[in-house]
Amino acid sequence: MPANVDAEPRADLTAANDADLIGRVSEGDARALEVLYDRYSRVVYSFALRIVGDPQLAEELLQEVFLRTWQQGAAFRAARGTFITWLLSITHNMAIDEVRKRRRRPQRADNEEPETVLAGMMDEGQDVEEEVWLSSLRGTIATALQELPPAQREAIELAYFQGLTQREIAERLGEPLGTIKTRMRLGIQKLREQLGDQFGDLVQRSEVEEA
Amino acid sequence: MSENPDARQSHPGVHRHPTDPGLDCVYVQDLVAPYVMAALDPEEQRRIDRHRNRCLACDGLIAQTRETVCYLAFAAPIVTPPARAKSALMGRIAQERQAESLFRQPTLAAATAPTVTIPSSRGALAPIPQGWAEGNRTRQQLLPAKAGRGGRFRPNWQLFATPLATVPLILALGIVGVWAMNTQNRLSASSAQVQSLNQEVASLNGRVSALNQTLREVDDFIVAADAKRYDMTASRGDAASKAVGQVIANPGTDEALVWVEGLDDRHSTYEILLESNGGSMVSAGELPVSEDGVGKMVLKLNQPFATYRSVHVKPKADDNSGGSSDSVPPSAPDALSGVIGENLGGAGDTNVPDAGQSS
Repeated sequence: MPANVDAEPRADLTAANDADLIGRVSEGDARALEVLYDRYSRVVYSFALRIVGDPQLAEELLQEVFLRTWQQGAAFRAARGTFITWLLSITHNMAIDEVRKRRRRPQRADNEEPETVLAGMMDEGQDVEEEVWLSSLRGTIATALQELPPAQREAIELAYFQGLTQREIAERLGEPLGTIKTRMRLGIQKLREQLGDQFGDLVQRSEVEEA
Repeated sequence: MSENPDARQSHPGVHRHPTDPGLDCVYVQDLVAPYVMAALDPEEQRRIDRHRNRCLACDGLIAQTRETVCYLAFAAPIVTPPARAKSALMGRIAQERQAESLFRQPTLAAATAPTVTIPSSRGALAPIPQGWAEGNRTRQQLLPAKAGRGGRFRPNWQLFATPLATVPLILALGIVGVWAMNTQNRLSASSAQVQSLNQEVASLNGRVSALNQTLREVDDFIVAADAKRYDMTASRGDAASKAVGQVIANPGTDEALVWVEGLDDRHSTYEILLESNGGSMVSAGELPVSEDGVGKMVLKLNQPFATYRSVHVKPKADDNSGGSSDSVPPSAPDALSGVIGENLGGAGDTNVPDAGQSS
């Protein structure tokens, strides 16, 4: 660990890109993690809340995700993808695990769906620039999803946001398993074509800001 | 859009693996989307895990698809987390750093001792996306992970694993050490005991050798076909005496063997006196007697033993009085006496132990 990592002004870190920050995190720089938290905690929290539909559990997941980032930052490899992809993949895995665990337990009758919970929560975003960035991203994704055939979109959402396996989706929808596989494959393929390379640059928030 | 299951598009760079014909790149291409969304059955998931480790092209395809799927996360409505979440997180990290610094205290033991690797439960608690975790794993999880306000405890077993694994190790080493010390002490005690027994055996061997020597001397007398045995008894006036004795003499020589037992242990030396046919008493020598009243000696005579009239065993007069040892007062009573002419007997009647009896 560098001896003077904690002595560096925080302002310098806020301008650093994600790869540099996670590199510093892997060396034990807690301030770098704080910058990453400030940068992505809303996205992680919102994503976790979208999956689990429980604000308290989403808050716990948020802490766990960034704690894992602190503990396992050295496992990140920039050559294998962006930091946000890595971070959201951890979030997805942990949130899906929670959903599946809850699904195996008896549920209360008054449990609300995640969409209902989200609709009742007012966002109190403070950073206008961040709001613009996130709104732009969300708009792009929403458009791409809306352009998918409904059956493909449904299969993808059931798998990604509700943690159902292909087999479970087929049973729920009463469709052959092969059909579900095809819907998911074609849906993701179409999303990739629609979003293309421009989306990867868009997600790299710090680079966009620097540009 | 077509949903024909057979409509598969080829992927550039994908190649088949002849060593794994049931799991080729086309199969991975089919399942890559549900794979990155964790929507496969566990066995399918594991099959692709195995395949991607051998195929760079499929590994790249998976990374690319994961990037695309990740964008879906941004479709969720944005909600700001409570501020307490950040303070709680940073508090946990500060706590972890503090614990880490404690663990990093340089010690000689830490520098030299081998590390104990404990299987981690980290993957089960928070699986890292496939393909990310194969790199550097030098950072340690040192703090138990405890959830925030909800109070859900997520133990970080790695923090406790090494100390917990060390405790039985230390206990085992302690037990082995105590056992080794006890064994060493027992071996030392046993060794001393064996040494003492060896000395005792050596002493007994010496006594047995001496006894065998005595028996050989007895044999020298009794093996002669014409050896004679002359019994000696206590004086008639001393009814309490248990003293007995024998003289074994070979008529062809001037030697005789005297053997006595049961003599009064107040005297350590007795004198053998022989009465000639003329009635004079001559000393044949002094007989040393042991504490248990047993004595033996070979008499060297000037004439055959059978030519004398009688034999007498008397305590030395100066034995207790401190007087002169040159003579035995004639008035001293006999401890043992025997008439030589009346004591003819065969060698086989002797009470002297046979040479073969070592007891």
